[in-house]
Amino acid sequence: MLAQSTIYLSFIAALLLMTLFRCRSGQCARVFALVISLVLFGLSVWTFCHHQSAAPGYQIETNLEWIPSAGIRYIAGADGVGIVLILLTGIVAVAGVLFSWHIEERAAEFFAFYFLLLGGVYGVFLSVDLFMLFVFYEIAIVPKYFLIARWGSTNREYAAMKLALYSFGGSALVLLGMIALYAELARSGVPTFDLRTLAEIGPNLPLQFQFWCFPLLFTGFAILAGMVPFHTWAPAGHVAAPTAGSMLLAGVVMKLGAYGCLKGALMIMPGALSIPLVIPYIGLEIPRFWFWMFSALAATNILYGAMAALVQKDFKYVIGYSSISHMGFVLIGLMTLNTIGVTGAVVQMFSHGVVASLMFAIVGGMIYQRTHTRDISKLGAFRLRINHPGIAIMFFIGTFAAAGLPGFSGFVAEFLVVRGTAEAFTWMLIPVGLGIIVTFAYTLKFIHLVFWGPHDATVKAPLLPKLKVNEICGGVFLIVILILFGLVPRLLTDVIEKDVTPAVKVMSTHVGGPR
Amino acid sequence: MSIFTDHALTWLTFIPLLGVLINCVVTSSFTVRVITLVTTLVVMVYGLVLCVLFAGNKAATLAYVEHYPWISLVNANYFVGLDGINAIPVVLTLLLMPVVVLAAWRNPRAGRLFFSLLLIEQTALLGVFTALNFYHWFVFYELTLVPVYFLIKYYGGTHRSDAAFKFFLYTLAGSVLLFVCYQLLHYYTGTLDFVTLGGHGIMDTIEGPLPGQDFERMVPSALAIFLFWGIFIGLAVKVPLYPLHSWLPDAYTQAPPEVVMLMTGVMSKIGIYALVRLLLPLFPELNAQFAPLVAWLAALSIIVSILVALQKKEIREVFAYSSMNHVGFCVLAFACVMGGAAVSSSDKAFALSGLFLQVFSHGITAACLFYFAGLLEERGNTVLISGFGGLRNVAPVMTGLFGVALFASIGLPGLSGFVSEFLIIRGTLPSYPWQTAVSCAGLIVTALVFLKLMERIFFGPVTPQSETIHDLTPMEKVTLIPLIFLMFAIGLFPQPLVYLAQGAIQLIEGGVGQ
Repeated sequence: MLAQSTIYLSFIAALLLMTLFRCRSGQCARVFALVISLVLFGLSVWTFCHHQSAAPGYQIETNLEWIPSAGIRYIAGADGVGIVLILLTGIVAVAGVLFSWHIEERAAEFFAFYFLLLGGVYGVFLSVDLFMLFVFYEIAIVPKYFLIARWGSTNREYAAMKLALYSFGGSALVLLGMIALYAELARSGVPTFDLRTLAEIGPNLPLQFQFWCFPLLFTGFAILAGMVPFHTWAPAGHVAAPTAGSMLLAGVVMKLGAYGCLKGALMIMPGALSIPLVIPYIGLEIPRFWFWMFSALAATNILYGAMAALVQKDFKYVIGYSSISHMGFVLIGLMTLNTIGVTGAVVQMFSHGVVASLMFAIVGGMIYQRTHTRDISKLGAFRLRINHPGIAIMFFIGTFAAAGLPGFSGFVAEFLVVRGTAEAFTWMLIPVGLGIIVTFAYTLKFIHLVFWGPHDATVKAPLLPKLKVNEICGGVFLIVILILFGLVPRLLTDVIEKDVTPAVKVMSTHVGGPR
Repeated sequence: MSIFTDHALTWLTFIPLLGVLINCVVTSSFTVRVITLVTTLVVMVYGLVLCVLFAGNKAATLAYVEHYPWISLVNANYFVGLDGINAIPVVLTLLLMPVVVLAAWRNPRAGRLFFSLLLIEQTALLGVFTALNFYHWFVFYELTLVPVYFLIKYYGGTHRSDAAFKFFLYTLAGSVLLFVCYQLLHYYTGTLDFVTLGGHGIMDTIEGPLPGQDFERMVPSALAIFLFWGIFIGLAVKVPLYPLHSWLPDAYTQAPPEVVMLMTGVMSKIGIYALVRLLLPLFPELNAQFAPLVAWLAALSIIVSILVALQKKEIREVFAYSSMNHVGFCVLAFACVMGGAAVSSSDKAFALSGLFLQVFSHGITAACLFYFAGLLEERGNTVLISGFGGLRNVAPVMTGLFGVALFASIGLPGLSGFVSEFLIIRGTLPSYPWQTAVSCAGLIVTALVFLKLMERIFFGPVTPQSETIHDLTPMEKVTLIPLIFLMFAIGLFPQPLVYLAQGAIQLIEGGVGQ
């Protein structure tokens, strides 16, 4: 019962904020938002701990009829993968509120949209019915638009529109795929949207059907996950969004897409990956077409994202492109179709969620809000390293954690994903390895430019306000999470592994072994 | 006492972090230094006691073992132990850290951050040397890079940013190569424990021998060659071997002198240690096949580095390249140990003892040399050799001790450098005569370089920059005395260290097989 109350609580909080808090000052709204987010966090942690000793498979909390004529039910529950992402959402929810303390203009509305988004996200992770997942997926898009368009910064209307259109485009593809899936199931038997049933009967559908339906679903979800070449909404959107918006977007919303890729596409129609693409006119036959296509795109994410981050001049764009790069690790982990790789992908979803939130909080919140510039060449003048050691230390820890330095959860994820890649497609290790090196290259570059940047020694550094309590709490909170799961990864891997192992068994039998 | 011996190595590795925590709440710079010094001394005493107890108990076995599963999916374990192979590097780290702290005592820029970074680095170094599982080892291996990166960036010389960047990224590229190779190894063998990978059989009680323990048959031979060279190149960046060395001159000239002492004294040994620990036990047949080539690579590195040192005009550059030269001898010895059936086991024993003695001796002498270089730079306000002259008139004690360190570096009998180089050459000459001949030519050039240096700096007319150099202060003498003492002690009585290395020889003999 408790896990799904996160959904309802979020929506109720949004409603209350919209209606009751209209005339009050920002402070009331903020405190209320913090309390609610802490409750959400508590619920997430409680269900996570409760799930540690559970059996594999979904722990269902509610199973109601919704639209019986279409075989749609309202099934709320989570399995190992979902519960990790629910924990992530709880963590980012609290951190986001802590870093939105400064919002004065229409604070109540801001938090209303914030909780609306959270409600949609929790809904997706708790859906065991594909249609229900889609509904929540769509619900999550609308608040994103408003958060960016009203409270964002550079180019906000354009970025908000781009993000919304791309997201809707992705959901349109998903809708098409879902309807096709439904029609195909109706032809051969009883149609259903229950994810558990789909995972059982889906792989046995005719392979030709799977061949064109799988990419619809996978691409639709992957757009939101930031897969190249449909990723262009992400840098613009993350940069334009307000701090908490970027944190949620990069931290959690991109994981919606990856989660959908796994649950809504890979687990249902893995057979599509084994079929060659045959073009008779040219006599072209590419074996295992979608398998190579999506793996190659994922590897491109990693390397291209890192290389793009290396050349950015706007600080927030660096983090935006690094998010693309890290989501590439998630996608390639999913495509390895072995236990270690997929577990690594889910750990990376969690770890990158926390790390991206931390980085956007520091760059957007701590630095940009004080300096009002994101131009890297100008940041050196503020002499942040000497005057604001707190920001400097948090930044150093954050960027190294993001790059995958051992000791943090990102390294665990990277280790597992690379190990999975070594087994599935060994030569992919080349772009992945290069991607890791380029990641550290841009990490070091930006540490240097921002904190050891050129400055005029004769001019005194502009005075910036010191770190506030909420910022310190938020930053330390996220860093502790990163270190905790870096040192004791078993907390995550045990839960994930027990649900990934049976899924992988099904997937790999239908695809037919590695290489 | 049992709580301290139960998890001895974990305590040893993490006590420096306690020092960091205490440093965080302390404000006076004097107190920070005292806390750091006390921490490093406590760790040193504790560690030496552990090593002595270990040595007393048959130095061939694995002691103070802790083995906990970490990520069972990939056989990543928290696995530490002390044996003949890592005893000497651990002792070196323990001994050098207090010396480095003392060396940094009078550095006006060194505050809380500096000493905390030093302590974190010590934790990372002890972790690297005691780790026996690749995941565990790699965590600490990458962590050793971070404190040094920040130490160079915060406290280094004019080109510190470039030096720090190059150092970090270059070494990281090597470690990514290692990372990738070990992923493949795990895929084929299912284990990341070094001991099991080596098939020593000592760990039967913890994790029985894998079926088909001869891994070369399990790994396809083409892949085995790739893995061998991948791991070798990844580590060759760290050693460093020519031509993967270009991070070294920048890092050694731009870092603050105390940090360079640590880098050349201890960090440069990580590469050598890793070659023995990681690469040697893996593919015995490939070892034998590629040993002559590795010996040539070592000889090349030895001769080229010292010839370059001959051309250099700055003191620290000369020492940096000569450091590379000395480490090259370790690789030469390593090549001999790799030799397989072609090399007699007594030769291997000589080479291996020489390797470990050289590790220790070079650690001490190089640290000493860079300390003097730092003193000279600071007091004479110049980095050029030509800036100095007639030092023996101005600062006789410094000249004397500096001279001892230089002679130890050349390999004068009676000092530590001689024993190690003698053993290495004695081991490698019968099997690799040409490579050894080239390396001996390198020895002669080393002597030339250092004698020239001595002549320029110590003798002749006193230059204007030299006039301002005052002799060693008591604190500096205290810093140097242990090092100088060790140079003589090991030179005259190398037995205790050879005994410690003995354990390594037995381990490797048993594992590598003929």
